[in-house]
Amino acid sequence: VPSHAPLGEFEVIVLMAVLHLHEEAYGSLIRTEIERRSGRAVSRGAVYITLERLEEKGLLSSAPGEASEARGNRPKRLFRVTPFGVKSVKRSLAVLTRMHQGLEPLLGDL
Amino acid sequence: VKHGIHWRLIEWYLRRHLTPAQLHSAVGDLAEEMAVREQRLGRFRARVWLLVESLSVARAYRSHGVLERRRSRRTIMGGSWLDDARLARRRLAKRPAATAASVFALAVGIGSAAATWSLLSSALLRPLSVGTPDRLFVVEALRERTRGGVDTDQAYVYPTYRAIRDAGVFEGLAAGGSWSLLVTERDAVPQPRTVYFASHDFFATLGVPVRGRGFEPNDDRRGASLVAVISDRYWRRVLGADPSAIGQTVRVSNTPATIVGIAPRGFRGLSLVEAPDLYLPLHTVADVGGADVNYFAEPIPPARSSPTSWIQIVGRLTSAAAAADAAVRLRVASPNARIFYRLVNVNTAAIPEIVRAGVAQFTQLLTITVGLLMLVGCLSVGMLLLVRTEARRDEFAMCLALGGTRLGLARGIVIEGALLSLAGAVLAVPVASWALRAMSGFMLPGQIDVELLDLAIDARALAAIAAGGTVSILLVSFVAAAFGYSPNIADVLRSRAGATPRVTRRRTRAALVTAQVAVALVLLAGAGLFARSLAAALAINPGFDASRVVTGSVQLRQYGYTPQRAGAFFDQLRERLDAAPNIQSAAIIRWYGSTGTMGRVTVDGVSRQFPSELNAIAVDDRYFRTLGMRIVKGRDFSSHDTMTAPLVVIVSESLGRAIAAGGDPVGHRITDAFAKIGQASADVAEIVGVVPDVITNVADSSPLVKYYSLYQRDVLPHGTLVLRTEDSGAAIREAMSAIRSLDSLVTPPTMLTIEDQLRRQMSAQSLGGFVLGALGGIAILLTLLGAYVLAESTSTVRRREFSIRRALGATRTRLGSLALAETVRLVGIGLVAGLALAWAGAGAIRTFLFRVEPLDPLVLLSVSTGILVVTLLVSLKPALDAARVDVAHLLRDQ
Repeated sequence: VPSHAPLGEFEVIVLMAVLHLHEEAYGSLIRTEIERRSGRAVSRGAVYITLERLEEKGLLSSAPGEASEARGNRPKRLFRVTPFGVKSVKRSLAVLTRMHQGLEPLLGDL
Repeated sequence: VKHGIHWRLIEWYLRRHLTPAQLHSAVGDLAEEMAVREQRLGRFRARVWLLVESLSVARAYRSHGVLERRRSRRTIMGGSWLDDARLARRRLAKRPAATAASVFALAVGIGSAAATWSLLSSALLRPLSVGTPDRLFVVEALRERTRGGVDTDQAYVYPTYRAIRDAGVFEGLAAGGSWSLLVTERDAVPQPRTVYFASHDFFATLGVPVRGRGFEPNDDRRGASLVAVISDRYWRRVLGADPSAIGQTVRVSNTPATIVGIAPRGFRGLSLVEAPDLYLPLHTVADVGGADVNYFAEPIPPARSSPTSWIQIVGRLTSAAAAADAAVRLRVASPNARIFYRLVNVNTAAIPEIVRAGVAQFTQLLTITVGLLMLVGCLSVGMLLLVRTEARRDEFAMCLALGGTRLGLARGIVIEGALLSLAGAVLAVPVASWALRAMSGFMLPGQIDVELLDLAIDARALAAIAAGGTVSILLVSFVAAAFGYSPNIADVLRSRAGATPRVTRRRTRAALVTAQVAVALVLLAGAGLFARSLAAALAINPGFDASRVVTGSVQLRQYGYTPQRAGAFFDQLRERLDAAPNIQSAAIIRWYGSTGTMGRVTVDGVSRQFPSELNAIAVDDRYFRTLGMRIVKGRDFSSHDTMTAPLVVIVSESLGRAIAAGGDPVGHRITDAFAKIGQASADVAEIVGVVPDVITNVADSSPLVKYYSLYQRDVLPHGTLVLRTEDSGAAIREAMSAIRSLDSLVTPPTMLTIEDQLRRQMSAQSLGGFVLGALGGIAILLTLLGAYVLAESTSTVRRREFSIRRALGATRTRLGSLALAETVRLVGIGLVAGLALAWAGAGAIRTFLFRVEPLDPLVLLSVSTGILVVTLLVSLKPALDAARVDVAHLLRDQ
């Protein structure tokens, strides 16, 4: 069931990480991507739970991926951002951008 | 790596919080990164990392309530068994009081059943711990009477023993018997102990392994240096389980004996009535007893009467089937044509024949009682499950409407029942061990000391009983489940709208309360009857103060006393007792008896039939003064009543009334059936006095109808001391030391006040009263709980009806009495059912009652009234709540 509730900051971050990873987004990689780009440590549980919640809201969809030897033959859970998810990210960023307008003297360009 | 134990632990832990799909992907992620980290950080640090990561994942899922949503979905759809169990546990934890009550009821039921089983098994089913008891038989020698019938042959046992041994019927043959002797450990004060004189092959024949060594043929001869095997019980309790006990010396009647072995735990000889402390070789009995002959193997001087009757012969047959055949073969080999043999299995022979029926009946009574308690326990648990399912009716209807299955819902209830019974079974273990400890202070009928039985919980029996309890709880919960969700959703919705719910469930619950009331009545009435029996036995002696009279009987035959020597012994003893500072007065009874002619006695030359047998007691001239009995009519015995003077007797008031038909019995003449035994020249005695009725032995068939005669000659080598004292402890010590100073070998008797003796004789009744009282108390608690729950649910269910009645003008008193009327009706039905049960069970308890009828109106009336009053009291608050409703309530409900 798609939810129109505004997204939280971490939700936007997770969605964007999934977008960065294209077809390859799964739990561990998403977390590494966030840590690499944001430069802050993120707990694994928080990432999983957020992925779970975003899927429930209809912003993400997931499908089982390949199960390699290194993973103990456990399939990856690959995430993709749904069109609705893309729209939600855009909307959130737009809100931020609009809020930023006029604050350039104070905050500078991002 | 992925199959290591740490992975399995992590998966197990995560599975509690994650769905299978979540689990797979998370574990896969962890495994992938773990491989990298192991190379970079080393195995140990990688594992620490793994642990921290897993905990973070689990915590996140838990705190975000993902599992909660999954659970609520499963409540409707039905999840795995484990999920159901978790949910059931939560439901139970939410109502701690009701859960605790159910578990308590079950634990008490199962625990007391297990304890009773232990008692039953050690007293009746497998009383002796010997090897292959089905092949062990006690050989009883019987002698044909010339005029028909048989007697136990109590003659000199040794020739019989030899004949049996040489007949080749038994694989092994042993002989032995017990004495009470003074035993001194180290420097302790000598104590009377049970000493069993056993032939050298005794332990081998019984198949009992002895720690250390048993007896050897060389030990078992007269004059051999004395060796002893001690019982495990003696080793633990007296020697403090001293590991160096073997090799130590104890003194038995002043003869030093070296301990060479310890009998195994649980072995208690061949009788339930006594448990030997020490075993000595049979042929040393003369050395230890200080007698002039060995009673077993040496011929008996003519003056002695049957001194070997204490020896029992026990043999092991080659096979269990050979018992009947063996008796015939023994008869052929018998040295005397009139003597034949009966083989009694050792387990049967362990309980004296006269009390066997009593013990069996008593244990049966206990079993019925415990069965009833189990019933109450199951009823209570069923009741609580019913209440709970009823409370969840809306929830069930909703679940069904949302697509849950009935089986899934029923499973939840059944699991709840199973959890309750599991908890009950676990708690039953301490209950059972407490019950065993409590019972060990009592005696079974026939003076079988429960403590000597060394009861222990039988784990298999406990498991079987717990399984039985669980099965019945499961049945009850299944019934509860069937009633609980009448799946008519429309019904539920309608009841939400204010219609009165259907009454089926309330009826079931009412039936449960009724049954509880009935069982509680039976148990409490039984306890009341036992208590009244005990009170009756203790209150029966208004004639004297039973707590200040001490008695104990001194047996001298085994020390080689002739009746004449015994007479001199008792005369001297009485003189010494008179001089003792704490003994106010001492008397000696020389024998008891009862007329064997069914109450037919000649009075004033006319043979008359009395309703019961007459008891006769041969006493000395100080007996009544010592007891403190006043002479109601006529006179006491005096020094003029010598052997040459005319024979006189004193009668009890009961006998006096029977003889003189209410008039004055003094001056009537009766034929003293025992005068001839006392070698009096005549047997017609004149009644010279009347004394109050007293009872000193509740086992007497007719304890009140008796007469006292003055003993004329010494006919038996024993007597009973009767002492009056202000300080029974000091008096007993003085009496013991007086006996020891006269003959150091004689074991002083067990001396008790008459009150204590009566208590002891009534010990089975005390045990019965204790057990029934305790169980009845629990039953009544559970009944009260049931009554309260019922009253409360009634007042809730009828709230609407009551508000309408109130609106139409009914007074509060009227409403309150309406609510209470239901409780009264149910308890009333229960009481009637209980009375019917009591009537049906009257036969089972009658044998154990003393001067109380099984349907004693006072007991039944007071117990019934008591139950009614307490159930009304607990129903009072719900009834008052019901009466307090008003129209506002009704409107709010709409």
